[in-house]
Amino acid sequence: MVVPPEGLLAQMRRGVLQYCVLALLAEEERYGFDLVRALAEVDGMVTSEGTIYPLLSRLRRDGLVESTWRESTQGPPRRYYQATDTGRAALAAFASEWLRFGDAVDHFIERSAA
Amino acid sequence: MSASTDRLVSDYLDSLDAELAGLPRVGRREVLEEIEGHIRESLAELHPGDDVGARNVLDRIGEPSEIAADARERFGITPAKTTWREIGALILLPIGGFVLPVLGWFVGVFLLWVSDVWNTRDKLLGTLFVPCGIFVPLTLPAFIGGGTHSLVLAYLFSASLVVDAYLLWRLKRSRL
Repeated sequence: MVVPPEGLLAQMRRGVLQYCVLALLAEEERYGFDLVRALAEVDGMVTSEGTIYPLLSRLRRDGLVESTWRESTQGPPRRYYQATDTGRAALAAFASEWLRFGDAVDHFIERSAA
Repeated sequence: MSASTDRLVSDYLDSLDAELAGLPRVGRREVLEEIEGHIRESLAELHPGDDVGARNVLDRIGEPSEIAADARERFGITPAKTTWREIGALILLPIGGFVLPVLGWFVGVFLLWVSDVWNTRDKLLGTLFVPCGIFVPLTLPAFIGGGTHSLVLAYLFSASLVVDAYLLWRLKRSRL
């Protein structure tokens, strides 16, 4: 079968996006626009920038991130998001699984490419 | 922001607000506020009145329907199903008063408000704009009697059918 990669890649990207967001928010707190910009710097990570916001809201509802309003030097206050301890733990759990999984996939793909 | 950019942005946000119906209230407000902030920050980097730039900003953010579909998936919400509530509301709002004077219309309004398919704006419109079901039956004798009164009533009744058609259209759209 010829693999139609669009759907699969979109699903994968969608699935891992929340961990990329968590990783960025574990480093430092960021406001939405800043976070989107950091994600958009890496090609292929975000297709519609707006979809980051429902994700952030969901992460906040699940207690993986928390937010604080801060004054901005330009314009109205901004909502800064930051990973919580639960969020960091979820990220760490995902990271070890991801490495293991990635190695396993590499093992087979590299063998077939060789 | 120039008037035309302002218009572009407010149209976009209105459309997004409508598409996000069905999301938990807090999540919906957060998404709207944040996207509004995102637009503001993006536009601050453009020349005032750069409509093309503003369109590009909105394009990068994405289609409201696409964002809403993604949001529903993130929140584990399957699009609301049409049930007897919606059908009942659509029937009773314009003609409920004929079926059961006055009370029929109230039942229609109740069904409209308990439905999770329509947003608050739709519900207010359905309730306040030409609440025909309430007064048509009260003035039915005049309606049958003919004359100017009946013309006015026929006009009002058609207006309430227009609102009903709008609600039906919104219902169909929430299905997509």
